[in-house]
Amino acid sequence: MLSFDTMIMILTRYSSLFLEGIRLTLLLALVAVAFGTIFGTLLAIMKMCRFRALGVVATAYIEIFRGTPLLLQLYLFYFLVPSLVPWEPSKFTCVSVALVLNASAYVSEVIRAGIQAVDKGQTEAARGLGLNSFQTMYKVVLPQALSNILPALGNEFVTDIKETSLASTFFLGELMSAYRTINGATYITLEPLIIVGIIYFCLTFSLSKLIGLLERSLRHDS
Amino acid sequence: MMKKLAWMLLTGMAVCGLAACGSSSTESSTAAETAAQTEAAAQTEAAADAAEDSAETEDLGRLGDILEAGKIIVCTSPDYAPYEFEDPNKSGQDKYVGADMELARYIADELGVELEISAMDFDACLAAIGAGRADLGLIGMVPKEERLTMMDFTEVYYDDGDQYIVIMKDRDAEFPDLASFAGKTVAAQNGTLQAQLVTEQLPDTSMEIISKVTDGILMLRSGKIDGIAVASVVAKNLVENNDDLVIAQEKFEYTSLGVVGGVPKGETALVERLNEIIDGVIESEIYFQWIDEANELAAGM
Repeated sequence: MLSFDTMIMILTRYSSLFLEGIRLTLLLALVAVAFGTIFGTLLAIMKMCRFRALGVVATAYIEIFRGTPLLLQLYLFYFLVPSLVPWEPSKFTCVSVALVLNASAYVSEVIRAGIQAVDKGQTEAARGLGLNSFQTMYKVVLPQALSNILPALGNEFVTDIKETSLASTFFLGELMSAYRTINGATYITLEPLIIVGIIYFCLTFSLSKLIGLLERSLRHDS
Repeated sequence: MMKKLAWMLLTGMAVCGLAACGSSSTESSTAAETAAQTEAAAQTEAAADAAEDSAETEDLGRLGDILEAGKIIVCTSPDYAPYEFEDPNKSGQDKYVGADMELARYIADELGVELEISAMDFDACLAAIGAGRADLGLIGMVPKEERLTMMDFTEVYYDDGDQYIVIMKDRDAEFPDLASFAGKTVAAQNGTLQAQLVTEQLPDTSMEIISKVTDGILMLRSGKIDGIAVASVVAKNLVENNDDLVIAQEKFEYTSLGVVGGVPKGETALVERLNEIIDGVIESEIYFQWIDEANELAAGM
């Protein structure tokens, strides 16, 4: 049923589609994690700060975005974003917005957990030595928290690589869209699916290994 | 050491992210520029048309917007050869091929506006038409009454003709007529005309719901099902691309409703103008040629 020749044929004939798919998948995941880190940091700060109201807002945001399916968010923002901005946003923009907002919620929890995992004694010692709260955070807590946060961010990147496949609903051109394109034109199902699966696996597996290396080197340093 | 490495990684990621955004936005803006240049002429023409039209009738609604903007947005689900699919050898808007896409280009030409094809899956297309995010949806759609709550239809531009059951070639003798499918399993896509036909005309047959015809082929080959109910164009495409498949001898009893385009609700002027254009398409029988060409193109993939 599964023909190796067909796989080779598809791989050679549609190589450009797969390459573009890899590029867009990585790009989307990168945008999601990079901007997710920025907004996630803000959310984490909001959640941990002294003003209760900000904390409530951040918690509500995080719970909502983690508690609803990403596919639903993609649909929602595809139809919502154009009415919120004055220009006509591209599909890439709409999908990116949904991915970034979703990633922000997850990343903020990663950052908060990373910061809170730093031993309380560190803060107390720093304050005892006369550092103010900002200095304590910046010079003592954050550097230590980073070694917790960075590997987890890497894992978020790996997760996002897989989640970008949902963007194929809007035929964005990432890997899963490549499959749908080939499938829709040729009515061949199994072979392109397996090719795309192998590509996804290679991406996520090699990245996980890299993150593992990073994690080890960070631990070694401290 | 650890701190440096960490900050390098963080800034590196941020820079990459920003650079990536920058490149994608410049890409799209240059594409927009060339598009703008190539049909500057068309646009002025359209603007003239629009001015003329607005002098005649005040309320053109969306048609007025299309002519003014010089652009019509057509949404489609390019996973449905030969109606609409993608040609990976082409890029940009040209990669969307198939009979419906030829129709979209024809309509844009007739209106004298630029065509923007927006690809998404079938359900998202229905939603996009309903929400007015597209001016027109060409998705090989049958005018099912329920869909009228969220959109209006154009005239029928293509008749999807006979409805068949595709079976394995080596079991052709087993199924001389529709009655011989009793006690067997036939697959159809959820919510489609074919699913309705299987339920109505094959009461003793169990129906397997599939989300894609291609999934059905896998099940057919593995013996999980005995046939797939499909429209004639799809049936022909399947049989041409798969040597082990054949069309069963008796077809469903069915008078075709035809295929229509979907338009956001209440846009009378737009529907009227589209229907005028479609009348021309029907008269010239050019859609049949597009279907043939699309079938050929799909078979070569």
